Amino acid sequence: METATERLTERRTTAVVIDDHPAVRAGVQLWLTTATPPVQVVDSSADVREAWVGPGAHADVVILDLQLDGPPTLREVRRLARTGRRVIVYTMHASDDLALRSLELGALCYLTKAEGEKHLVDAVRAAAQGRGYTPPTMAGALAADRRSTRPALSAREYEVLVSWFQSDSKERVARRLGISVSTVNSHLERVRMKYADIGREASTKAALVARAIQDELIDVDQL
Amino acid sequence: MAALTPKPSVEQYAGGLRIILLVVAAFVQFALSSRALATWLPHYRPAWVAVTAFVVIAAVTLGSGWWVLRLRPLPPAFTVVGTVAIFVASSGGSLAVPRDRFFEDAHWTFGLAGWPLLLLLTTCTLPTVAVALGANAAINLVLYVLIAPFTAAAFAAAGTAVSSVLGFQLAVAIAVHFSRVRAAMAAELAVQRAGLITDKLIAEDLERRNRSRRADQLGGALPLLVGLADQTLDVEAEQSRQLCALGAARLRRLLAEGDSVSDSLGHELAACVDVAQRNGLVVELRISGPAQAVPVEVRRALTEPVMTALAMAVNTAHVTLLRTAGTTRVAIVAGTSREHLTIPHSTGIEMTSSTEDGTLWVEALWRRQPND
Repeated sequence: METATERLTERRTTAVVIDDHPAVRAGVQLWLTTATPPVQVVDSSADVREAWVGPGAHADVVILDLQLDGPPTLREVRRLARTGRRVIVYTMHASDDLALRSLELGALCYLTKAEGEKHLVDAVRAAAQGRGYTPPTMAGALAADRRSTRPALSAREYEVLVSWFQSDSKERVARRLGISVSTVNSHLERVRMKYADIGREASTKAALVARAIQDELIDVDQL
Repeated sequence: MAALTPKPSVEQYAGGLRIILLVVAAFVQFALSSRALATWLPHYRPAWVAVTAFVVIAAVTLGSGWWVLRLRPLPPAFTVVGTVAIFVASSGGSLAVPRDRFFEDAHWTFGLAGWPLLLLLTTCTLPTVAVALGANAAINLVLYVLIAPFTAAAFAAAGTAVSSVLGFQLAVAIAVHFSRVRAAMAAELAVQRAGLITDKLIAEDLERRNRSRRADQLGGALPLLVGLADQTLDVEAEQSRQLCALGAARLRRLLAEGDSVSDSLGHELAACVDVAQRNGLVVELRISGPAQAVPVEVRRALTEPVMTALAMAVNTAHVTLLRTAGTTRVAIVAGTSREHLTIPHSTGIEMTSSTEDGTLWVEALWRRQPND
């Protein structure tokens, strides 16, 4: 029986780019369309509505800037992710807090614009298959996470996160730790899954409301 | 450091004043009033009231001595109960005095009561003390008007006695008050002076350490400058370039150490990266984890390996700072043309370094101790 993944590999991966800077939209489009195999950018806009209507509504992956004509907000991440859209947060903000909250809200990747072409293409390919991608900056945020709600990581998982954060090369991480690249990927994926598992739990109504305020879905004034 | 010797506090001055007032109250009670009580005891009606008044006032005076002699402030509850007891004893004692002996030797309770009141109310405001003394006088005057036979001459004599006693006790209260005010001002001036001296000592120490640090840092650059000046160093040699790059980074870091920023280590690391970028190296700096206080010696030990590696790096470099609850890691992964590098080690810093396939990987790790 044909799997969804196999079907995806047969057709071209599609993406919609939401960013308020035309140069960024053009750059991302160039990177994706010239990748091997290429990724088709079906739409790009400064307006997040393009991810909901028109060609962008059916794109496999949404590449979303957090700061669209205002302060960075996670509201759209939450809205898109909860409807099953595969979201890559693509931002200039190297913020541990934003990275962790994006992950909890259902984003498959938090990528800073300083991290370059390869990470973006890899993140889009992973997201198109419904998998997360952990770029080095996000690995740093996960390794530095001190919140009481953080999941327990094994010593090896922690080593992989730190080494990946430091080196930006999975081959170097693998050589340093004496493991294979696929094992490095497995550890990174396992860490991401642990975070995804704790992501949307809210044991009480109060916790749910607190999280909604934190995610900027509602204001305190609305309570 | 003699200048920093603690000065007597306002409370210590108040303690000294209380001791003086305790001695005065005890002297008036046991040397003067006791004699008057013994002399007039058969004439009091009833006598036990006069004796009880004497005992109550003595109990308050001696009771306050428990705290006064240990230079401790009187408990508020004792002050309230003692003040009420003094008023009751003074009024009761006055009622037992023969009608024609008010404000005379037999009426010792009136003169005595003011002294324990002064003792109890030493730290109260001057109006409060004046009201207490005035109330004692007023009560006795009312009793006098109600009980004693009223004649103009007797009233004039009573007025003279009351104004004399009250005036003297008020004068003492005013003296105590201004003594306390002066003591408070002196204590405040002493604190300000001690603060100024402390600030001066800290500034001197800081300047001394800065001078020493600058000398250390600049001292490292001097042999390099001398070598370039006398041409023992080849200005075109790669090694000279690396030494100059390292010297420039150290000076840049030294300047960054003087900046007032919330994240000193991140700031100094960025300064090192800035120098490398100006030298043509493509460097990416990543920082994760909240800023935390790291001693300057540790910061220097953490950044030194990065500076050394950056000076020898080619093409690109990734510099990272990762802070967790217990550790601070500074690392650099960079291209290098060398097979072996000598990376400086420092006490208290765990260092790992490796060179493989033209890539250098150095990590400096500092584990925060519980008392850091």
